[in-house]
Amino acid sequence: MSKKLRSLLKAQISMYVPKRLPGFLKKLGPVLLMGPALLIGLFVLYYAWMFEMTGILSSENIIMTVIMIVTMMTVVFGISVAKGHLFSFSDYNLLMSLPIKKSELFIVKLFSYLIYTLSIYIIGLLPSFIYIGITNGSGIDYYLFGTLTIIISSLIPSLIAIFLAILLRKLSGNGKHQRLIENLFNVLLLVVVFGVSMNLVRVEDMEDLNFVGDIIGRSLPFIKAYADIIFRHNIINLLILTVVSITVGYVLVNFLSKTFIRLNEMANVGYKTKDYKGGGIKSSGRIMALYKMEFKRFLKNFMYFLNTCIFGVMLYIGVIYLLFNQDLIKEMTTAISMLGDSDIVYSFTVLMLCIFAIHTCDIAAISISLEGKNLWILKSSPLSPKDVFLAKGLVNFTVSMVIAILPYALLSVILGVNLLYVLTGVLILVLSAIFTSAYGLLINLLLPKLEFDREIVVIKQSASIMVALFSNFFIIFAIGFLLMYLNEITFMSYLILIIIYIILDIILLYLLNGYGVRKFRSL
Amino acid sequence: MLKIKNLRKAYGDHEVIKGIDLEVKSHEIVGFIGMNGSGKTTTIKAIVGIHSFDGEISINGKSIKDDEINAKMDMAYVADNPDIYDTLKAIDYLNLMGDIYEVPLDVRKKEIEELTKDLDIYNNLNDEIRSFSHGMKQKLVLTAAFMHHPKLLVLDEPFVGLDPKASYLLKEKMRKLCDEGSAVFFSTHVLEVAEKLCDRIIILKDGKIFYDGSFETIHKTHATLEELFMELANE
Repeated sequence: MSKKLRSLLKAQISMYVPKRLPGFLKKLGPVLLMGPALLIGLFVLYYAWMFEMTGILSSENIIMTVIMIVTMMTVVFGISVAKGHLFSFSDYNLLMSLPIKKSELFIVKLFSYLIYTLSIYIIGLLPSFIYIGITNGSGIDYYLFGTLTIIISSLIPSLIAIFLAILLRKLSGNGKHQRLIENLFNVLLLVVVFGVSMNLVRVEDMEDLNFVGDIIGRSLPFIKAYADIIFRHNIINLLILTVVSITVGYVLVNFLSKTFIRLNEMANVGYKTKDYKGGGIKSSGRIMALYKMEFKRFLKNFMYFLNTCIFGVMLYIGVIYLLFNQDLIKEMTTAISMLGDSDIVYSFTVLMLCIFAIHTCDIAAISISLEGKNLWILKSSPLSPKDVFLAKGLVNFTVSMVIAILPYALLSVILGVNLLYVLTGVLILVLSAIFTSAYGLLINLLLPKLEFDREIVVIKQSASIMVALFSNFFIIFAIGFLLMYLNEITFMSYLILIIIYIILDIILLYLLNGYGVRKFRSL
Repeated sequence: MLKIKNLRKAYGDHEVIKGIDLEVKSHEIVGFIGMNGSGKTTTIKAIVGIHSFDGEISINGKSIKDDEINAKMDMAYVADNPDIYDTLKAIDYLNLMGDIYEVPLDVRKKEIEELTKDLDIYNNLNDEIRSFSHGMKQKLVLTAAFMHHPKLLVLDEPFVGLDPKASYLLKEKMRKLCDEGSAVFFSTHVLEVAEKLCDRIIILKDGKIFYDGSFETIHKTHATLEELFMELANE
């Protein structure tokens, strides 16, 4: 690789490493880039550990399940990463004006994309792979074949993501509905991913899920082939995999190299609407104006939506699934009747699911960071920090209500929950939405990230979103443990939740009013 | 209209503004010039409430510290870099600013139509701001600033990126605003513009005011503003 290429690649990678780091951490820059991949690896490892401990899946099926999850995650994330690395990248104009060959530019951008997606796949899989190897006492051949398989197969989801990203780019074009088409495509992809996942498992087969391996093998035969290589050292499959990866890679990269410049030129051409002919001038209050602006920002960015509402989307899919599979409810009743009066337990379980959806809706946790270079507008305008907090908090609150209240109401109706519990549950959901809104804002004020060139960096990698996400998990589990400690779930559990949230909300709003205002002024 | 007393601003141990006193009266256009890094933008950001500071700043008699909202209602600010909400349409951005400054609907409609037609961005109001060039964004921000007839207009290098027609119009509008009783305070590196447009000039050097006076006083000792500025630079 020429010196020019190396320098360019280094500059590309450094763009994605957090800038405000203490001195010793800066040296770990490229390692920190792997942070999101490591989190995925740990998340997947948790599932592998759970399946291994409960013994409901064999080692081979665990590996196949884990590969399936990581493949899907790599494809979904890869599509949005391709958009920022391969076309519509922010430094296009600068790089095109430099004395570098277009082929070199393409290579640099492709490399920086692949480093990102390959790390998600490889690092996502490695912890689980190693864990299963250790628990099974596997020999060197397991690790040898497994490592080779993971490395060779890693290219395929990255390339599939590029292909889908190009397809999406061509479909959405530069028209008025570009964003709508992109968002619909991404939602459809999500529905397919979850639909496949949910159809793999049925409650009546909970004791032995090993049929999952058969289903994965039939729907995604290449994963079955991977398992053959890892567990039965099938060298033919390994060779086939290598040839397929190289062939697909060559064809796709060749195609992309020919269309790379044209795709980027197309991406840089904005959409020109018809000439303005008057109208569209409206008036509203300050808070409402800010609220509308904030809401538009949220709706126009699919990754913002995906990252903060994923569990809410899963909840809606779950509700629809239950609507068409009501015999599942009878199975669930038997399983949960051990925890207490099934009526209360049902309603409480539904409530906790919806609370979980709200707690993972961390819109407010990055809403101040996303102001970025536009912060001067809010700070120089006749707006108090409280106006800003209220508008941003209201967006979080609104979305939380949308993702939680409707599924809660529907599930309560389907499961025949008592009206008193439903109404009390709604109150709890409102209080929890206030909590996450205020909490998110405080976290963001504590850990702002105002310098970025792409919003995706804030949405996926900022300290505030990571802290908000994991601390919200912790809070939910802490509440859950507290209530489990009471042994039986009764109406008292609802009242305890109300008290907990009221206290937390008061504390947070007080902090926001004092510390929050001071912190915002100092930004 | 603008009063600054003993303004100081430090970033850690590094003091950027070292005690500034200045005043801008109604009907005045005051130019604010200085070398790069002299503290012009920091001063301006303190005036408009972006940065915290030590000292006192009041706009139309209202303290920016104690009566922040009312002080800002009388003011408009145009930043040197027009970083605005890219995902909004231009008309939505103007509506947003109109709502924040509580511009009545009839005034808003009239001002938006007049200003955007003058600045040649009327036809683009339905476009997303991301499709705007630097100059078009600057024009949009200027429209939002003039829309509510501020008592004090603060601009940081407003002529950068504007085409000649827009530059001419901006100067006309600044003069018209002052004739109506407002004041304009702007920073610029274009000394010729400052000489033609300003009633008074303030030169900042190393965080302190080096010169504050009219052009009549300057021309007693120096042929041009540029000559004075070069003397400052060589000191």
